[in-house]
Amino acid sequence: MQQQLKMTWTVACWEFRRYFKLKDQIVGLVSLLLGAAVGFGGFRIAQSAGQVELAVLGASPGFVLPEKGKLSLVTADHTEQEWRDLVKAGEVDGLLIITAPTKPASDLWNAQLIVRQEPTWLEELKPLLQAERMQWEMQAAEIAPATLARILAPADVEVVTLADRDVSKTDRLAAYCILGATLVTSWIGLAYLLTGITGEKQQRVTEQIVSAIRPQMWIDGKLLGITAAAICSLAFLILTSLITLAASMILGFEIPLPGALRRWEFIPLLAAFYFGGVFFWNCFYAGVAAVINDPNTSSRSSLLFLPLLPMFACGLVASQPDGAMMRSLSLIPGTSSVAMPMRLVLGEVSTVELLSSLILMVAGIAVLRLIAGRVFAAGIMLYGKEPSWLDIALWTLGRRSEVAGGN
Amino acid sequence: MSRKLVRVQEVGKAFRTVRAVDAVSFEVRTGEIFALLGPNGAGKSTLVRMMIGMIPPDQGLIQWFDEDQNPISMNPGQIGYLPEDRGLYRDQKVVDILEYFGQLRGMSRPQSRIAAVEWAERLEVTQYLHSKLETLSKGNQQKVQVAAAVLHRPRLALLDEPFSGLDPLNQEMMLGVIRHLRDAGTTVVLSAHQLELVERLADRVYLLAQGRRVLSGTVNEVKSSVHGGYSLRITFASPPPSDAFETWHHEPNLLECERRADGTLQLTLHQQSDAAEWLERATKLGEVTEFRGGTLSLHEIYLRALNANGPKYAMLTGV
Repeated sequence: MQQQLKMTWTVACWEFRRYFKLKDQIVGLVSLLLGAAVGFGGFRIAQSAGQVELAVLGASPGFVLPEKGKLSLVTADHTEQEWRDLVKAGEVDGLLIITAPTKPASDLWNAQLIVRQEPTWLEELKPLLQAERMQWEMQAAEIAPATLARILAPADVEVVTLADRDVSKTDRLAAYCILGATLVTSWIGLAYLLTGITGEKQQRVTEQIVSAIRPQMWIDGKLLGITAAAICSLAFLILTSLITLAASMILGFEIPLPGALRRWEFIPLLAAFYFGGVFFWNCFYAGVAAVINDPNTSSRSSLLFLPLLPMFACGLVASQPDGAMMRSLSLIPGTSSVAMPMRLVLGEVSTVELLSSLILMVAGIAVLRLIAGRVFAAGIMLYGKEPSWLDIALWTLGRRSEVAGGN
Repeated sequence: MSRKLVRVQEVGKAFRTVRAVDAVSFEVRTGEIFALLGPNGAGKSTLVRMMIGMIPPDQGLIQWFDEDQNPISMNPGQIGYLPEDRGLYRDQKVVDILEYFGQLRGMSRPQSRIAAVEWAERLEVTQYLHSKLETLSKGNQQKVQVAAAVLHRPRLALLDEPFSGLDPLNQEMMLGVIRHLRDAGTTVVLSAHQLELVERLADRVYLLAQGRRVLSGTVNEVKSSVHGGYSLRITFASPPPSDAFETWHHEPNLLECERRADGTLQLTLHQQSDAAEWLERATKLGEVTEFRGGTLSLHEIYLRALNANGPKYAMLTGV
């Protein structure tokens, strides 16, 4: 037993080293961070640069420009022509002339903007002009500002939630992030397993390894090593995201944490479902990869897309986290790894459901690992040909069909 | 009498309708070089795969024995296997590959690293230890493959076609490596088509055809077991007419008389002792410019044995 574990560990370390290159990951991390830094820097520069100085003639006494905006008001005792000359000389960015007759008539209200060239800040100015015109119209209709504010205010609806906790937009975002993380890790695992196993068959490595260790030990080590490599690759992506988020918060962006992630007791559960799910589907991928001779031409390759269906189903019914569909998906091994974490974040999960889901997932992994081992053991010895569906069915039942061999 | 290491007893294997191995029995003895011979499809590789437990036999028994001749279960750590269909991780460094295969055979990481360096020196690929395998020539990749199969000093090395892909110089080096293994205490079972090399190397041979035994024993035993174990080649200055040899066919010691296109006469005799008499007979027919005698080579015995085994092989070998 100890020897078997040692061999499995040896294979796991080898597969991990084959696929997880720390140097490449660090280069990727630094590249992403540099990209993020350039993006943020550009955004900040764009925000701070290009302050627009605007002269305004004919505005009401209450006309003001927002403090945080790009526009600032220039005041000086100049005539219209003198302002025009200043705009032409580039001393002032624009001259806004508002024509508002003392006897109000909406069709006579007019605003004219004089600039040297087409302004990029016009969209920022328009709401200010809208407010100014509204002010003028109110006076025309003799409506008090307080009355108008009440008329325009949206209907106020107070939402009272009876559940134990509230689900925010960030919670929903977190739920979809979990779905995405499981999908991405599974895809990384799929890529590694498919290239690894079909590559080993094409490079004729399998026979020499199978003469040294049992196929089940080989696939176990492979699954552990490749799953770890896929998770570490994703961890680097997450690390990049976290550094970017932290930097954003330091730079003053407000980023609220999802409610579920503020409840630390959820983290081990989310991790358990995530690791279990990735391992479950990697077992499936390993079995399928073993019966593929050439991924470019094999009809078996379509099987590799099968895990996407339940995952997408979870995404579709996420709006009803405690509905019958989502409850069922959260119990079935293979979908529970996505559905249950989404329900933990978005809905209400009883302890019985949680335990049932975990037990079923572990049982599912055990069964799938065994089946994948059987298919793998027979499939990896086939060179240049693919087994029939009957062969595969026999292998999953633990029976050998004599397609392997030759002299 | 050397001790037995593996006993193969009445072993058979069929793949669907093809009978690959049929009631084959032999023993491999400790410290010997045992050669499995036979044409393509004879069942050699299937037999080797059954010996290492990769595929189970349909019938018969394969037993392994310890030093005290007690039956034991096969330990993969004591086997070195060079498969016929072979390859390694092309995108990995040679030293890492050797280290990994050493570990899979039960060595610790430091042990396998030391062994990797030793074998690289022996096979003259030290300079490539830190290169990726795909950058090596085919011959050097083959050497790395051999090192990966035997660097853990196995009790038994099963080498399926160890000479294939090697040039004559490297074939000689491989010959030396196999002898080195034997001298270091490793029993070697090999299959090969290079019969002149096998003849120089093997202690015993086992010839298979269509999954069945045709011949077996030491090289000398095999030679003496074949009718016509001695041959004479006579070259005349000017070839005598064909009817000049008619009386020779009544000689009881003559098994076969063949006139070749170049005028050479090839005689196959039952016994060696008649050579002088045959020279005298030949000189009566004409001037003899060359007279050579000797035992049949393993290559010739192989072809004859296959010819005797059925018309299929007679057609293949042209005998």
